Amino acid sequence: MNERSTSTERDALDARLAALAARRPAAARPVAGHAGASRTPSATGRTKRRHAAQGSRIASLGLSVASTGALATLFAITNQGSGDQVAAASIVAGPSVGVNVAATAVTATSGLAPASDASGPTPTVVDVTLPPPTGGVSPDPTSAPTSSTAPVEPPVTQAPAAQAQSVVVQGGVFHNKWGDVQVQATFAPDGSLVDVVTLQTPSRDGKSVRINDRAAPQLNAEALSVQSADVHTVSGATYTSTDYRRSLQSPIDAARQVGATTIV
Amino acid sequence: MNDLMWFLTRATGIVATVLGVAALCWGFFFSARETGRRLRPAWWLDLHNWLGGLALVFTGLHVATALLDGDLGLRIVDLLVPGAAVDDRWALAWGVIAMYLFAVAVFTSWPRRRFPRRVWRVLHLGSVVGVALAMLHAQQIGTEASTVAFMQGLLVLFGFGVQALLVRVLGVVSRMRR
Repeated sequence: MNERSTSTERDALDARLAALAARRPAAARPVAGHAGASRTPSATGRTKRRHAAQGSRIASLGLSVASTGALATLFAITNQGSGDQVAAASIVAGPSVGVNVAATAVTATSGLAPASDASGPTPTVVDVTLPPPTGGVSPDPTSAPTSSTAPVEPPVTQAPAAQAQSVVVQGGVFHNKWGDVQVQATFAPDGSLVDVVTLQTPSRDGKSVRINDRAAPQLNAEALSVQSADVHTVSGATYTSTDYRRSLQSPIDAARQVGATTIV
Repeated sequence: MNDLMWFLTRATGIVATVLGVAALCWGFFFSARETGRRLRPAWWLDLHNWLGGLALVFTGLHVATALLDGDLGLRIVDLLVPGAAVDDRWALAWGVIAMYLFAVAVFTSWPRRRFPRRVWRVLHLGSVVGVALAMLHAQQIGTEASTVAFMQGLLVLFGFGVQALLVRVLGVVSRMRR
């Protein structure tokens, strides 16, 4: 009786297990595998990996790729490209102190980007000790041109006051991927370029500082030597050299506008 | 082209750091059994593995794009040998060491059972140092390091990492007391 009862129970249990197994699809039966994942047999008999976080995996991958694209786009938008002018040239000492050189004139003579596109700060006028005039003629500030619409290349004789003393002009600020470049040029009463000072060079990191500490004196010396902004690129300082030429061209153009030099 | 590589270098570096911190947090929460009831532990472990691998992939992209940007002047040896770079030697070295630590953590996870548990644990926990070094690398040489937003973001990431670490450590301490 007891044996018969056990047999009946076993049969019932087997039947129930068979019924449960039939209800459960074969493909859903997990097989032991990698931690966090399981393998399920496919229709072909091969096992196919199932990941516990399949959806989250796809989401995180998509989010990562999208973030990379968005950040790169943001950097491209916010980054000003090489050679963008962020401030115009400004005469800081001489007969036309404070004059910001007309952007159109600079563009016309050097092909630089117009300063009206600039979003950066305008250079402030600073006190500069001027060397004494060599011609013995006192400069007359009232007769100096103050308009930024001065002729692009006026004859030297048209601006005698500008010839009477040295003129110091801060060049435009040019931005590249490593930082800003700005030079300041001093023109002697005879119009020659007598001094060039590098006011700004990229200095965001130690490498930039080292490169520009080496390049700036070379560029200054060559500019004085050739009496123009047409200086050679210093090896390893391509960006600085390019923007140095642009920044030095702007004070040359500015000085020429006020008749302080004939350098082109 | 160089500018594109430069933008991608910066973007992949940031994303790799975020993924590294996320993998770290997922791992700590999983091992501390602080995964809550809503999501299965297997989900946490699977996503932890995935995020770690993804962090390594983005680190590789970061290195590749840095190499392709000719303006950076980086040589292969600078990116593979810690301290080989002439400029920014240590800042680059932290990044290179972090990359290796990530790689070791990821590649030893697959044949995990072949390692003695203690050895595997030491190798795996090396990635915690890796994440810290990646953050130091970002702080020292990152182009955005001078911006307030970037530094705030880095601090937030650091906070997440420390919180996850504390959860894990406190879990171990409480278990030891029991």
